[in-house]
Amino acid sequence: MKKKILSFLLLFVLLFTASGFATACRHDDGPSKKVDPNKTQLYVGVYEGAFGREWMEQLIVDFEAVYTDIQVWPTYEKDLYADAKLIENVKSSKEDLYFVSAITYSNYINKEVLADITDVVTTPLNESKYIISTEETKSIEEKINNPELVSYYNRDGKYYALPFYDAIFGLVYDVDLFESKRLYFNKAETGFIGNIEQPRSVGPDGKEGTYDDGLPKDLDQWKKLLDRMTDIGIIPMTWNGKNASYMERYLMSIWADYEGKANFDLNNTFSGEYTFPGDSQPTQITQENAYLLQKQEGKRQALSMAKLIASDTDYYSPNAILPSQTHTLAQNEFLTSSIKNQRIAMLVDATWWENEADLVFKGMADLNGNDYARGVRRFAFMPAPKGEGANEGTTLLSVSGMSVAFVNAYSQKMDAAKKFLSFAHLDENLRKFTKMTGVPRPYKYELTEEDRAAMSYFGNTLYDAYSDPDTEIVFNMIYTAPARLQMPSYFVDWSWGANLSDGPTKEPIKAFRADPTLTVDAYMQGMLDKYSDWAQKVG
Amino acid sequence: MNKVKLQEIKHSLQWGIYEFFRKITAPLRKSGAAKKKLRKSKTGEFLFFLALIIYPVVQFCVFYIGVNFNSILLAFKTFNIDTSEFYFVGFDNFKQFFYDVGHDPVMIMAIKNSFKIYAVTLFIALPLNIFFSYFIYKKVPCSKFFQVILFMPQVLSAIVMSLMFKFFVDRGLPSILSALGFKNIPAFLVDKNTAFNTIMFYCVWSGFGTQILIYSSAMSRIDESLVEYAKLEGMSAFKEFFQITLPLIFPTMITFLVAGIAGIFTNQAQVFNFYGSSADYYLQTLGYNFFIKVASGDASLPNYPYAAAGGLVFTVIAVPLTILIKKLLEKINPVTEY
Repeated sequence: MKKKILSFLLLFVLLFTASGFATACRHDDGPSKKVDPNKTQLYVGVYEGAFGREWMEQLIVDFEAVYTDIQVWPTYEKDLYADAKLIENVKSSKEDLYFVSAITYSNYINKEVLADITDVVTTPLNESKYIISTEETKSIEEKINNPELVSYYNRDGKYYALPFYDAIFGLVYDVDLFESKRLYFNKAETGFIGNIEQPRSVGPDGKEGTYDDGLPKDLDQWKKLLDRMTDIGIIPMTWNGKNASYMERYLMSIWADYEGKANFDLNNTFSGEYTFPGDSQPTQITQENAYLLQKQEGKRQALSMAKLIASDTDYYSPNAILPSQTHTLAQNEFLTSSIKNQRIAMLVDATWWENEADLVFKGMADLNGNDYARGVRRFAFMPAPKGEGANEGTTLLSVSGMSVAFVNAYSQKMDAAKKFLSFAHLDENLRKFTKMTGVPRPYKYELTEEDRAAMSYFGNTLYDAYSDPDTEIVFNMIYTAPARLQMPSYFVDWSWGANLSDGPTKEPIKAFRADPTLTVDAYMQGMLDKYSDWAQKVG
Repeated sequence: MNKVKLQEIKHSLQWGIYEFFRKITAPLRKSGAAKKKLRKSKTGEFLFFLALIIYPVVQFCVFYIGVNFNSILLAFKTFNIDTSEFYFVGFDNFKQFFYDVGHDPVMIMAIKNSFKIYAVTLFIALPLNIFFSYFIYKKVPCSKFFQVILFMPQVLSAIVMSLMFKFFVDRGLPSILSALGFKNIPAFLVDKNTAFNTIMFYCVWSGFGTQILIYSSAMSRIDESLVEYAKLEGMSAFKEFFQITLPLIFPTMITFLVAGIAGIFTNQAQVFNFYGSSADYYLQTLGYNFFIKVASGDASLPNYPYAAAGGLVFTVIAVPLTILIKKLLEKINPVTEY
């Protein structure tokens, strides 16, 4: 009898594990269609990240409607399309073109796995042989909205890839909560507004009537806001504790906004000049002395913010610092706090967060009504605090400078691939991408009123900030300094790595939390100390 | 003699010679067929054997010998960012490595943590493993329970186990402690004072299963007559353990002790399972530090030569050390067959 029971249990376990194979089998949830042997079959590799698949499915439908002799088949992968893996697999893969999150551009060019797409990029779209019909007179190159990207992707007059998307990193805040609890500063900046109609302060950008009115402009106001929140029982913020890069990038966004593009870019180029606090003359920054950039005042600003956040455990969710707090759990915690006892006001994340939290939105809407649906609840982008000496204007941090679309150099369907690539970069399709994902693409295009109406409040506010003519975009990973390319592990913690008295660290908030007596000056010194072997390592 | 007689004699002789040679060559003819049969059968066996081992042998040659040979060469190269090729630079990577060992706080911390983990494995995990194995071998009350609990981490996937542990320690345990009235509960996997200790605890616990299985198995092979003799002599379980069990399972212990030496430099201590590539410096071991250089999201080709050089240095240290330790341990207690 015992044997029979054991046999039955064993069979059950075997069947259970075998069923896992069925569910693990990958199949593309693309449009249901059959292969037409009379058409060219085009395969597109798509990084399965935060955008979902809808935008690609729509692009394929629209493309096939115009190019009736081509069928497109998408493949969605994540780990297999990572930089170091993809470069080895491209040659033997069936994909004709890719949309991926990050590649080391020069490596891929040297390995000759990227097709030359100069003709796609530099020909005016209305004259392009790859476009059937359009009224656009600019080339894709002319549409790229950032000269830094143009110089990065243009190698001796040739293009081998196009920038894919701009993921802006920062702080998301709950507009509905801010309005209901009147967490905006009044116009006189003496305190908070008494009612929602009351005029608000000009905010960090110093301009009245813009998206950041009433929001904290400097660290003093930040302290007041955090204290106000905790006084009325709100948890100010939460974040992804598992992945240290989230808080790292948020602090980087503060640093970048303080410094402005020209100064921040010195960290990527190691070439230019910078006037350090107390100096009357600028210092010429070269590869020999670039370690001095650890003294940038923007870093002090960011570290001061980190110290402020860490100074009181009531300022952040207790889950935020835990390694079990993934990005999705943080989003879940942030969103579902609206139906729990204690609200959370802000979330450290990037432009993709609403896509990633889509299931949470749907679940909340199903359980609690449409008021909690995506696009109904209002969230917005919180600007970084300015301080004395900060750069005027807004500088946003994009963490996706290395995301690209490229054609496989070994593709046998070059013509079809280039057609798809060109089509994807028409204005209407750039707009559709942003409308569907809320994420901007680094090109000059304007959303229509209809597009905006279909986007969430967050998508709209972010787009406003992103497309503002006074806004500059910096990238955290587009390096041109030879040392940064040659020695990636030495610079991996360039932002916040520090040698403190009790050991090395790379997470300011954890360091300030562990030692409340640790000062910003001490941390800054620790960052300099970390690169005390510069002469020996970099030369 | 007439012609007919002569013809008869000639024919007889010819026939006789023919018969003679047939008789001489008869064994050769017979063994050739047998040999052919035997040869055919041995060839068939050989081909079958070859078919079984050729794939793993080729894989071994390519993915172990080839890869390690390439790694050795890589240790003497550097990556050219302009051509994306590796080129020889002699001992530059080794110079950099030894400099870091002496000066880089991150590397120094990783070395300390690696030795800490080894010390815990040696002085805490090993005695506990043997202790629990003896419990199970002696079938003391609740030994089955220990068997299940201690072996569970081996049954479940390492990622699943570490995920469960992480969530329990992060969220479950603080709730329990809070309900029991404890205040100022630390974030065990975050706070500098507790994080690495928590990781070490997990490593010890998750390492029980395999060792207990092997030690129990070694103990169960001890001759019953010895155990009976011990009982008759009135030996306590404690005495029996030190005078009979431990000496007899010492060869098994040698295996783990020797393997542990090499593990000093490669043991990640499950840090990647808990923190991904984001572990702060005070949590890093040598194994983890080098792993994220080559296999994490921050990995890139320029890191490979340095990592290869480090790996070679570790090998040069670990191999003679392993042999020396093995010889020493065998001298203490020569290999026993039973």
